[in-house]
Amino acid sequence: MLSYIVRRLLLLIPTLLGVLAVVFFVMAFSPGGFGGTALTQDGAQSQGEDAKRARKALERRYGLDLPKAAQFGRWINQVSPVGFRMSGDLTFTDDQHAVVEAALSDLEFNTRPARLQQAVAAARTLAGYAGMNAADAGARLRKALSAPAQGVSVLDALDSALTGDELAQLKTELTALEALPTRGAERAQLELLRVVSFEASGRSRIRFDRPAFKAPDLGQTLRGRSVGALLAERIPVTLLLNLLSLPLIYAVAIVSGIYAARYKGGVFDISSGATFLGLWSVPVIWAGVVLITYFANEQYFRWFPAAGLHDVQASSMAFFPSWGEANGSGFERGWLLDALWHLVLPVLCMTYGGFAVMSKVMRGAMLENLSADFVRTARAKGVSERRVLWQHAFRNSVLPLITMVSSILPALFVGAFVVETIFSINGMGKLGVDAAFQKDRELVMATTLMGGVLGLASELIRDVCYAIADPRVSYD
Amino acid sequence: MAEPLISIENLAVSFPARGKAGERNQAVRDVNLAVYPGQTLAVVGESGSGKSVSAMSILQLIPTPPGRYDQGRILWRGGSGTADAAGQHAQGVQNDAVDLLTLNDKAMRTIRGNQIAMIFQEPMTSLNPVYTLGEQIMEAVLLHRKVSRSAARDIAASALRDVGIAAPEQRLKEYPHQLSGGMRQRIMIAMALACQPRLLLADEPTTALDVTIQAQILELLRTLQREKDMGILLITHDLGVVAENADVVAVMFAGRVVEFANVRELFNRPRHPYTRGLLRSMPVLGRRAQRLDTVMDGATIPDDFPEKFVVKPHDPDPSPATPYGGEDARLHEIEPGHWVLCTPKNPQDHSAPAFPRLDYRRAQA
Repeated sequence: MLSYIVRRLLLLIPTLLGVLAVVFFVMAFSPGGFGGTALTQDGAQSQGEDAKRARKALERRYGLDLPKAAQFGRWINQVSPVGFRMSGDLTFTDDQHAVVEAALSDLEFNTRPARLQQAVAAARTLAGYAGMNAADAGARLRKALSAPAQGVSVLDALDSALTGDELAQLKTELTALEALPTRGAERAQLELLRVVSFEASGRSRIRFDRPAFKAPDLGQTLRGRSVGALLAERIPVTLLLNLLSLPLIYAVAIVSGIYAARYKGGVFDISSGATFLGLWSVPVIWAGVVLITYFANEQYFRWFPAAGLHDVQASSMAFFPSWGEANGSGFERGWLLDALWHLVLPVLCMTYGGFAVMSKVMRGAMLENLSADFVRTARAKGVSERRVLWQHAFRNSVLPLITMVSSILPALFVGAFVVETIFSINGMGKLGVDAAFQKDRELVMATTLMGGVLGLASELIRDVCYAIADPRVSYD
Repeated sequence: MAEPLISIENLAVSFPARGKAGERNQAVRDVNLAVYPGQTLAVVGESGSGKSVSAMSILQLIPTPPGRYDQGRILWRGGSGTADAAGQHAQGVQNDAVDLLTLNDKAMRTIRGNQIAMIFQEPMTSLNPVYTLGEQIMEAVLLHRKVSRSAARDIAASALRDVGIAAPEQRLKEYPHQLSGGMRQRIMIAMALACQPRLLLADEPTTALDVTIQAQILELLRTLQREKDMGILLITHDLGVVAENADVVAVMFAGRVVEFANVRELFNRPRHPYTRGLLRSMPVLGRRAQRLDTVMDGATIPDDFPEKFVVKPHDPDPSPATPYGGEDARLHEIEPGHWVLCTPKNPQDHSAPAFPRLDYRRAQA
């Protein structure tokens, strides 16, 4: 069993690579390529110098001018916990950080704290690339920044992809900026810093001579947010919705399926079957709107909120409900009750259609086993009906159940795009679909990676559960 | 004469007719059987003749609905101790016998697997695949005996030893799929016998097995029967098995018992045309035949059949609505110890039909 699990875990790696490769290359070869949508305005491809510049900036940032296979390799290396360091991938100690900060702090651009950190990051990249020590890199960058137009030579140290023409143009631009009457030097410095960091991230090379265990980096979205941080923000929302609705679906469907089989052809069997199938046939997109129209509407019943997961003032609420004599306003619902109140309609929307399939599967499995010979044997032994149902028939019906329930793990994180959109909830469903529309490479790949890992893991768990549930299943 | 262990009287069971609302098919009708302690009653007949329904009725294993017990009594005299207490409250108590058909499910459960056990035709599917053999045998023991788990395990192990299984302690931990068909049938028998029932219902216990295993299983049942003075109701359609094992034979056809006699009598002097046809249809080793006889063709009423009785000819296209042998055909004891389904020529001048019971045991080989 253990060797089987290890074998499956090893097999998981190529499978995952395959999944990622398909998604990556389909997106890479789609019209417009990565980030293509971000470059259009009002639905039309923007033209002229601006578009070219934006395209170029994107290429620099993500290394899109490399061959597509190399891009894929770079991305894999970036997310893999075992891989190679990138050139420019270096961390400063606190001392080094302080030294560089001191070297750069008196320059004109340093009007906001974030800018200084940006400059320090650039110095760190420079140190990583050129193999300089921290102080040298700080000094080199300072020299470049203090005279931006002359300082473009610093790009050589970064192995920049700029051609001679482009370099000349950059120089002209910087000179023009320096010549501006107000904040000229500051703007030129910022422009140079921007170019340096773009060049650095796009031209960063895999240092095959520096293999390492490292923290997986999911990269940044097109808008410059860290993908990891974005996921950490969205996942709890989706998890909350799904942890409420999926167990509800399974509990109701399994129990009703069992009793429908037990009293086959009875009132409960027929009515539950008809109800579940009826609910299953109602499109979510319609039901959601109807629910909002009738139950979140002053004209009918204003029982529930129409959107979001929290009241705007939720962050200032106490956790538990209270009767606040302090402010004299009477009943305060508190954060918990507020959240539950907001969840009623979305959870209703996510559950109602789910009962049918699971319930029918369970009913079918139970019917098969209730008429099985071994159930007759059990009855002939004098086993009670209740025990026959739960110990003999149900125990044999868990295999289809495992198949169905194992999909719960990836489903917990996937999110429901339609429900999230209708109720204005910022969950994973919306995130994933928006990312796909915008062809936001890092975000799409991150959700694919997550879905892939969870999906494959749940399959493995399912197969292990089979072996536990059914002694006839063996992998050795 | 001693009372039989169990006697089925005028049992009728029906099921709804498929595709025809309101109509019911009579699965068995006017079935009369009796088993004495230590006796093997073989019930023979073709598929659908009502053998299994009769046996399942004893344990009330027929799901109701769709099935329905229309009439009849099943008198059980094997009860003792707790089962009697349960039976005393039932209305069917009579001559210290309990009418099983009047018992509720709770009272029935104290009889099933305890006083009356049943083994089935399909050893491959009759054991629950997800529980170990030990768990399944012990389940019956724990249900009916107030014993600890370890004592139950000992009972299960000795039950396995009784049916000739080596290393029973090991076997108890195994799952059904790890055993062959013959072994599984032994397990089924061990499970049925673990609580030492007074009556064993064996529903074609050897059908799915090859002849060698078949012989072993039947030998095993004979031995256990002798040791425990247990009644066996053996359902089969194998006349060879009947001739080898039965003390008394009941022949069933179309839901009715057509002939009831001891095994010698039945094989030597079959009286009912159906029984005669059945025996004729058996191929005889060494005799060349183009076609084997079919059951009904050529079966005749024997010359020495009492003239006072008639047997209606077989309807070539019987329907469930018209019972075989005519509406008023009953089992008549036309000779001592030989019952045949027939009609008296003159209803006035003959004794009422009798419930067949025969306390006969073949000489032990």
